[in-house]
Amino acid sequence: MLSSIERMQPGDHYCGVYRSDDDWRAIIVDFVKGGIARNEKIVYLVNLTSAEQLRAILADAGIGVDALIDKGQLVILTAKEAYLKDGQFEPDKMIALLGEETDKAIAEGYTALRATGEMTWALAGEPGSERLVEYESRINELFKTHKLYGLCQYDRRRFDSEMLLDILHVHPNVLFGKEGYDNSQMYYVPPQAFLERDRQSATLDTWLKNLSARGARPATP
Amino acid sequence: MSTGSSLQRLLDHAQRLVTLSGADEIMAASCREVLSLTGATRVFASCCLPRQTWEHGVHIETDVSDSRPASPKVRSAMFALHRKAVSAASTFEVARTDELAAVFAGLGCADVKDSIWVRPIVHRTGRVWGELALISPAHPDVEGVAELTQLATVALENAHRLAFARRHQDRLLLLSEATEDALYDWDFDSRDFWWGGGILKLYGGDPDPVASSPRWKHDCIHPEDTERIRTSFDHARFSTAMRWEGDYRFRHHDGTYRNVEDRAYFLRDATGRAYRAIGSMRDVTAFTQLLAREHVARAQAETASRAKDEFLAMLGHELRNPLAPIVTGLELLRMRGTIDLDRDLPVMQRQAQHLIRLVDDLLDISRITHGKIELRRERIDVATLIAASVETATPLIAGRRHALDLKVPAGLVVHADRARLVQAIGNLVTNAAKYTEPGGTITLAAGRQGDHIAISVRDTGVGIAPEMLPHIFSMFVQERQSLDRSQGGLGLGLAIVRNLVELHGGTVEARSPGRGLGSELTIRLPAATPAEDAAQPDAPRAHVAGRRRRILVVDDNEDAADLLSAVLEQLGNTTRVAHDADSALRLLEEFDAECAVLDIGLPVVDGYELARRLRQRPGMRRLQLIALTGYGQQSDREEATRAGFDAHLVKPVAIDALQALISKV
Repeated sequence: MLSSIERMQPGDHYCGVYRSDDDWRAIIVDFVKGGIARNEKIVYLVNLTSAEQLRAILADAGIGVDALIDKGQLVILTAKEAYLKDGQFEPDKMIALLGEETDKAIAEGYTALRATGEMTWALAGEPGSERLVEYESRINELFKTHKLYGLCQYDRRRFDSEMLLDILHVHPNVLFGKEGYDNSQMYYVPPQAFLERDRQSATLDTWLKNLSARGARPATP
Repeated sequence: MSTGSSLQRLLDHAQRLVTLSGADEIMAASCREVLSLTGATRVFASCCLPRQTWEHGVHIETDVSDSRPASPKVRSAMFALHRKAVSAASTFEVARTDELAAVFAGLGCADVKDSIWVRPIVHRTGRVWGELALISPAHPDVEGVAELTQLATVALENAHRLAFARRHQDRLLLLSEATEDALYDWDFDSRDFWWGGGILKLYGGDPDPVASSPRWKHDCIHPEDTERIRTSFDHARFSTAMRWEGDYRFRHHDGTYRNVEDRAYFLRDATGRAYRAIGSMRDVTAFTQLLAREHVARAQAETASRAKDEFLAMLGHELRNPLAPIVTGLELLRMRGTIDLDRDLPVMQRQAQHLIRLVDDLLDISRITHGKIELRRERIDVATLIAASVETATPLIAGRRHALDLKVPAGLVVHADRARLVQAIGNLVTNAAKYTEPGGTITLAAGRQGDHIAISVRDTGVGIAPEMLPHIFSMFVQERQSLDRSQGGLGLGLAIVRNLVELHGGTVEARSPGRGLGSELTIRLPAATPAEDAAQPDAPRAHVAGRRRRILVVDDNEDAADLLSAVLEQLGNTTRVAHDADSALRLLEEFDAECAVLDIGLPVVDGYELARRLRQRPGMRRLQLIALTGYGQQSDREEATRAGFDAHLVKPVAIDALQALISKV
């Protein structure tokens, strides 16, 4: 098990930025395995991959996928079924849905809900997809109150740098390749600031605050 | 497209664009031009200026009939195209894949013959501000689209810059309106000088003279400040300094001057030469005046505090002086067992009297300060006042062999408190005698001056320094030292004089040609009018009768109690002594007192409480109770009355007064 996956805790909101299929595969397999080990419910939202392909990948890694799906611990949906439920992406509805699913998982006896999604659906021009970054920022409030893990998968080869910069601003944790990083005191900008009208000023202020919190550079001996 | 009429058309379009200030107008005009030039069926545009997010950006859709804000579906589709445009440098065709089906649907490209071409709007910094999307069945004029997009980009940049500048200008304009400071902008090369902010308020009056020239500002600086300010400003201007500060006086419209703080910032060219100064001037007159007043007040407070310290030191000294011979006399009495009634006793009595005078002065000044002096006015002839005053000082005048010259006509009448005026004039005469070397002359004169009577005391003594003249009537000030300071005193005499005279509605004035040249102090009082009837003269003092009384003396100070008892016995009374309330109550059970003199400051049960208890006893209601205290305030008297005392005397007690009270029993 990757140590980066091992260290994840309920309440963590990760963006997984990967550049190769091998890294991606290693991450998603361990993410599912980690959920099984901790008796958590796992929701996987596919987009680039089909549900069948995913089942095959997990089975190859020794995971009893069918049994998991049968008992309801693993749920595989298409991203469009979740994010674009009524043909349109609405952040409020998606955040509410995730909150309800987490509550449901706890009620079913699981210790937490572990959700991951392939985010390429947002590149297709579907209605409301331009609100992705807003959603990614606002959902951080949900993670503070719910036993919920989030791993949002961003393929560096498909997403442009302008968008990934925004994505980096709204995730307090980053999985880059196979390594995990605490981004909360680096590039992360809390939703209150990020959703300000003047996003650039708010981002700058947050980063300068982070910088000064690290203390001044010591004098050269 | 770039030849002939098409070039003219491009120029016309460019000219139209520069008249537009909104990004939405520019994008709409550009879309329409692309539509008509390229054979596209629809054109879409999205644009996010710096600091704008996608939802706050401009989104336009245009077809042959109209240009309008894009629908939500179009905005989402354009967002997907924007993701591709940010990585593209030039026009590209969007492949019709399943992945982008929503984009084609969103832009209404149901017909498979329709293609989407995208042209990014790239700012010169390389940042992609937005894109145009063309729906066209045929390959569009890519070069023409590029040229139009380029024009749109330039127009957007200008509009953005203009909007930024306008916001900046509005901000400065409002700031200039809001601030109280005067603002100026001085271009050294063109000699353009702009005034703004609160210059009219600072200068006041007619705005015409607020001339736009550096000369005018220079001319308004106070002549005494001009050179200093010019030198320091030029020094800063011709150095590498970024700013300059100066404080000076600036002429107001009415000719007066205001204190200002002037701060200027220099703009310098690449060689470091200052070519412009922008500054602000703040009126700090009120602040400066406040500061000056605060300095004066502080100096006065410090002087007063010093005077008080000196006074306290002197008070200790002055109280000790008469105590020394009294203590020595008592010591002699102890050693010899007897006292020389002709030599030692008068010394002790004189010194004790001196002590009493000092304490009286202190009490007087305290009463005056607290406004507790009540005048008993009557019509008095000034000549009798002066005679009584001189009488109090006669021993001193005689002792120092001064000649006394009286120039007091009869018939000058004032409506005043006899005792207080005798005290005031007596103080002046005593001072004149004290501060004049033996053998001098003291002249007392009185005369009418209009509605007033002036009484002056002139001497040939040590005089008063001119700088001290305004202060000699202040408390604790004692300027006129006799040569050996043998006369002492607390320096309260003249303060008492002034206060007593002012209570009478009069004034007091001191004059002296200088040190060693004598002085003249003059009291001016309103002359009595015939209407002012004489007040009831004081009741004649009760005759000190010789009848024997039975008196109880209660005081925890055993010496004081025993001495008072001895004096009362000497006057023919029978006395008993107690030192606390309990023993007093016990004594009274066997001693049928007619009168009890009670000290108020008794331990455990104080004099007030003792009086209350006595009054509650049967047979004691007619007992005469006299309070004896160190406190002479009106409130103390009232407290004594409430407790049941018949009379209240202040220590040291005047035996005559006490005997007079006792005799009333």
